[in-house]
Amino acid sequence: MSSPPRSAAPLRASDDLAIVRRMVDGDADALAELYDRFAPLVLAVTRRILGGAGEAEEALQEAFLQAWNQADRYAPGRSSVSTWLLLIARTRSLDRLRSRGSRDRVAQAAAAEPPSVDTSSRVDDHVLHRERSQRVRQALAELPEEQRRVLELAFYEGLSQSEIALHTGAPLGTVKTRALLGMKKLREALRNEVRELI
Amino acid sequence: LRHLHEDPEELAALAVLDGFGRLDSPDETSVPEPGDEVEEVLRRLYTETTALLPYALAPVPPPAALRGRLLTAILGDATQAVEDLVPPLPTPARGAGGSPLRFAAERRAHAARRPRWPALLAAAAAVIGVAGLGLWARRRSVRDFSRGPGAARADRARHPHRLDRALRRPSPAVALRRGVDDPGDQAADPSRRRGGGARELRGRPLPRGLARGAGAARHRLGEAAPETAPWLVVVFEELHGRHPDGGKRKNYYVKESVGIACGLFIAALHDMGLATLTHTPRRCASSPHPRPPGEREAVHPLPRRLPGRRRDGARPRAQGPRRGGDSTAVARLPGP
Repeated sequence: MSSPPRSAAPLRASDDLAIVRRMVDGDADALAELYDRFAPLVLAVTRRILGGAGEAEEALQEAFLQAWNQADRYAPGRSSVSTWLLLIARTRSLDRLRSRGSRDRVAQAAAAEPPSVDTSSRVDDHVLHRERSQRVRQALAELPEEQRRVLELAFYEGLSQSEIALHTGAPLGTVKTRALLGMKKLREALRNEVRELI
Repeated sequence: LRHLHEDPEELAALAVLDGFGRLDSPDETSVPEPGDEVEEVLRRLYTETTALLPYALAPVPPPAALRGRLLTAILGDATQAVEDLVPPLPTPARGAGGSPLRFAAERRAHAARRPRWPALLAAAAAVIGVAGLGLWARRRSVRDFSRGPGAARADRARHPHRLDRALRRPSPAVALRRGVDDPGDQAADPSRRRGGGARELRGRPLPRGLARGAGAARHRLGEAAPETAPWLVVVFEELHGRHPDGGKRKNYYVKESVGIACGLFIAALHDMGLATLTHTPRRCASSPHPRPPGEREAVHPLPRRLPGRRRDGARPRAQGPRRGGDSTAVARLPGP
């Protein structure tokens, strides 16, 4: 039915696109390849958003299920396959997070340690993403703390700008400004990465 | 930050930034509505950011068993047609207890039984259609059994349009035209107006073509009842009954209960082949029919008018009776 897990392979957008096209054709092996390429990153996102391992794995399964069912909706001109898949995983995770209730989310965000980027020097198992991860972490680490915090609360917690303002105590306009500046700085610092991912 | 707010694009950007989470209500921001072009710029910025952020996380190798479970659940049997997996299904609940593997299994099961539904629905529609045609064929109009020569116009005279005309003094031209095209309406002229018109009409024979009770001059129960109505139905509400010891026992939801009963009754009459409810005469309380103690005449809207529009284009008024108004229904049924 499907091939065994593959070892690390060069990360090329054309390969990813070919995988999705095979999925559209109903090639089961293509789904397995997609899983082998991106499951660790998808699981990182779902665990970062949902915390618990069990629910994070269920969100991962939902993400791949949706990718399989909706492979024909993938638009190569709008984003890379990895971005498409990761956004699906983020959305499914936030759906689960929101089902817990927005109050809980704000309370959890307040109680939790400020989410920080992983700046440890540990060696990633997945070689494919190591260099890119390092560059992204570095760019995020160079952002002012308040800007990075706004981006992380929005992306990982799914909080709206108003909720972030409520949570951080900053005026809404300030929150929006921080988010905009953070996004622009991130893009400036990672232009090459952006070109590959979009 | 002053320079940031002087740039229209940046101002618009602040408005769309809420796409990052979910949109805030418009009154929470005073920035202008972003145009399509600006939105596109910001959408790209947002997409780029969301594409980058996941890479700040250290990849988490999933459990080895997860891969097999996922692929088995999604792909299922190798012989399973992939097309069966694609059609959309009712969205499963995404609660904490939901398992995507179970959803996938349900998806396959649903796809397997999907082809049966069209045939079942078509068969059900055919049965209902045939039964409906049978019922329709058994229905009769008052024209089918009235002994009066003008019965063919009876229900036309009950049309709100005609009723409305009957309550107004017509212009000479209208009266002339009525006299030409509808002899049944001759009686509607001015003698059928309210007050004096009704008094004038009382005691005069009505033309066959005009149903009694259609205008302001309604006949009363017991006087000149429609000759072709073999059944008279009087409905009372039992407001209270009596306990065995003679004490008063209040009944609740009387109007609702009687209303439901009337609805069922009318539906049954139609099923039997009822033609029409000719009218709902007033003043049942003063009729010769005895009213049981503890009961009063039921006041419920019964279908007695045909749909239509008034002459001035206004919609017909609500068909519900007024307080102290309609109380009983006289039904014309096919004779034995």
